[in-house]
Amino acid sequence: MIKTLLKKQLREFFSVMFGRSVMGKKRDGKKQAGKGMIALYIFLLVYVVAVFGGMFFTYSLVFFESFSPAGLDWLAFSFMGLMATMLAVIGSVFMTHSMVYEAKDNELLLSMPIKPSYILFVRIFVLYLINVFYEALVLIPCVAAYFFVNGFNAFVLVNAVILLAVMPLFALALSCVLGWVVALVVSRIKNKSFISVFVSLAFIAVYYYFFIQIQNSINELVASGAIIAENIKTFVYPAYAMGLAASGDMLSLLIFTVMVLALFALVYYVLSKSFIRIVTTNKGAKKAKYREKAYRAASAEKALLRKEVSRFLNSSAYILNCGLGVVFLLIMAVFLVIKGEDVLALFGEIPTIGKIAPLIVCAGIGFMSTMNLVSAPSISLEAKTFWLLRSLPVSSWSVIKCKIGLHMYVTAVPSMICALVAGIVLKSGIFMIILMLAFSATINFLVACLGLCLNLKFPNFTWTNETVPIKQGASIILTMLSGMGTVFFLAILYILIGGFIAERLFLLIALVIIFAASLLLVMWLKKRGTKIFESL
Amino acid sequence: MLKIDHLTKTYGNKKAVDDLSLHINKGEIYGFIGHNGAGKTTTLKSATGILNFDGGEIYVDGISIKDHPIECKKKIAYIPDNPDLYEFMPGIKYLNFIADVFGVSAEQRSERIRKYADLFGITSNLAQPISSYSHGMKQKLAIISALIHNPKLVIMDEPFVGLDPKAAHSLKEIMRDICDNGGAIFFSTHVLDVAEKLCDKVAIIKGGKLIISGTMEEVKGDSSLESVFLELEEADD
Repeated sequence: MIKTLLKKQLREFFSVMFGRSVMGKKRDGKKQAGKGMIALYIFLLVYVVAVFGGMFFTYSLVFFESFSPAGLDWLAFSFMGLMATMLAVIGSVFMTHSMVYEAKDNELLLSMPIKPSYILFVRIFVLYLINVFYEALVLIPCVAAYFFVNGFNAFVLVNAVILLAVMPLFALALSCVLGWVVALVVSRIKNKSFISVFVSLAFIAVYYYFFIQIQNSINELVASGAIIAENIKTFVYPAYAMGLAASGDMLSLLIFTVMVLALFALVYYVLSKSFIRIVTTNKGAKKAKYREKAYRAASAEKALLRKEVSRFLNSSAYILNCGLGVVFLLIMAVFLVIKGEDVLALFGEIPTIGKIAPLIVCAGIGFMSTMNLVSAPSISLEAKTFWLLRSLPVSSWSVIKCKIGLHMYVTAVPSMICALVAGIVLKSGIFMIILMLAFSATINFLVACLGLCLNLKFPNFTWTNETVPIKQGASIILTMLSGMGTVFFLAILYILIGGFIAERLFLLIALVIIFAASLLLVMWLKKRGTKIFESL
Repeated sequence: MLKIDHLTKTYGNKKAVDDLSLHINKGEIYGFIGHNGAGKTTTLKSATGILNFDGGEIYVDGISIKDHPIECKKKIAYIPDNPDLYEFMPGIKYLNFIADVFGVSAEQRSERIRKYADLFGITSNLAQPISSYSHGMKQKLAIISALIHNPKLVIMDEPFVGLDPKAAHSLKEIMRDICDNGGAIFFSTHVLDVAEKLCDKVAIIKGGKLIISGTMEEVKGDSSLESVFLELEEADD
């Protein structure tokens, strides 16, 4: 029984992570994605592991080089252990929320002759594996750094392996509790997507704040290691025990393991006792009362655009995964308003950089715009409702135009605000500001068209969870990489010809290139894209 | 009102609909019967312009759906077998969206929404998101949205599934009203009793091919529609 459930849960998890490309074939025997896509996913995984691994190895190295001579290895392990736990909790809390509390098949499984505790167990087990992955991202580089500084120690290795199995249980217990809080809050409010976006952004903010603080105060932590060590010993005993255990102390390992197992067992017991109630109780938001009011008729295209806007605003996953660049663009604009003088002074110190400051800003805007992928999953998201668009008396081109329209509404305005603020702060002159504004709008238009073209080429109408087309769709990854490739290409072009022409002229050339590429995509969408749309 | 002329539609190597011809006149309720996978939904979706087809022609009020799909779609309303609607919208927003796309004036839509929402008993739920609706409520909303532009031709795929008896009765009356006012209804159903009582004409499809069609009397003669259908189904098995 558990084996069957586990297979189902793992299959579901991998299909969410990688789409159906690695999960088998479609009914008609065609593979949904080729080896290229799998290679792309592996590349992205290696990239993430390398970036995080390198970062945590560096942090660990600084800690061990400072603490090991004073015999405070355990403190370095404690710091890194806390970091690993935080990464695992933040990384998995929303997955816990959707996998345990909001799983679509909870009621189906509960209707079968399966013990609720089995259902909970398999869901928790998959989450445990995810937490192991997160913790390994920190702990493996940490142990490697320890060996690099202090040499190999078999006890440390053995304890690290045991801790890698035990510590995720602690993070899992915390994310289960936090996931329950999120489920409770989200179920009682009306604007679920807005609150979800807000809570997610808060988590992301905490995450970035934590790592920025670590980077800023690493020297401070190192300098006051002895005092912090005393405080941890006194007030955060589990962290002390974990640190000692990781340093090779077997008794501490035993104590820490017992503490974590006790906490996890308690959380698991409470969850399994209340699992049915939690997943079947419809707490429901207050029912909205219908009051008839006069409605102003709108044109068909306006209605289609409104529908696209409504689709976007009502999905926190869509907003967070495809519109996150907008947040960064607005943060950049606010940063420039507040710290504009400092930025100007910094550019002023290096005349060669100061000269190309508007181009650097445009590259930054371009890069962030490629993170806005609103149009890229928009065809796939129609899925079961695609019949509606095909049965309505609107042309395919009108539908495609509205999808481009949504992308531009969401992304172009923040990009242009950012470009305008940067232009004013950098005192770039009116002509350059106009060019920067045009660049911001055009690069977003290019990404919008590119996303739609790729989604028409790689649609996915078979998803059961909307995060599949939003997060892992081929069109999403290819649009992002193609967009970044375009910005990279322009940077290379500047390195090649920038020395011979003025910055304004280069930006104008870049603008013409992007515009021409967009125009080609529009022509393709109008001729070939509409035909593909009608045959989907 | 609807002329299906030698329609052929294939999926890969499989012919889902094979040289099917039907003619639905104004004022007729036309039932479309067949076992699961016989080609009913493919035919209905082709007739509404949702699916492109490989051979033949379909005319709505004399206009080719291949050549002038938008003109044809303006005259049609389609209710699918499964009411997959925009779940992110409240019911009222969805109705207004459909009304906007079909160019229904503010006054007409208010009047029709009030009339049909009251008739189907979902007025108080119109402010709720569609995601919170039951299957039956979604089906009712799909029916109201189909009627909001006063269509000439209503094409329905299993319209009675999920409806409560009162709503099913109301829908039957609406179907008759549309036909009495010069419109036409083409619908598929597995409920043969309903088809027998409601339809002026009926067609039976099997393996993508039309087996029999005509007035109810021509098709069933002295026996029941059910026995004719079962007889035809077993004929070649």
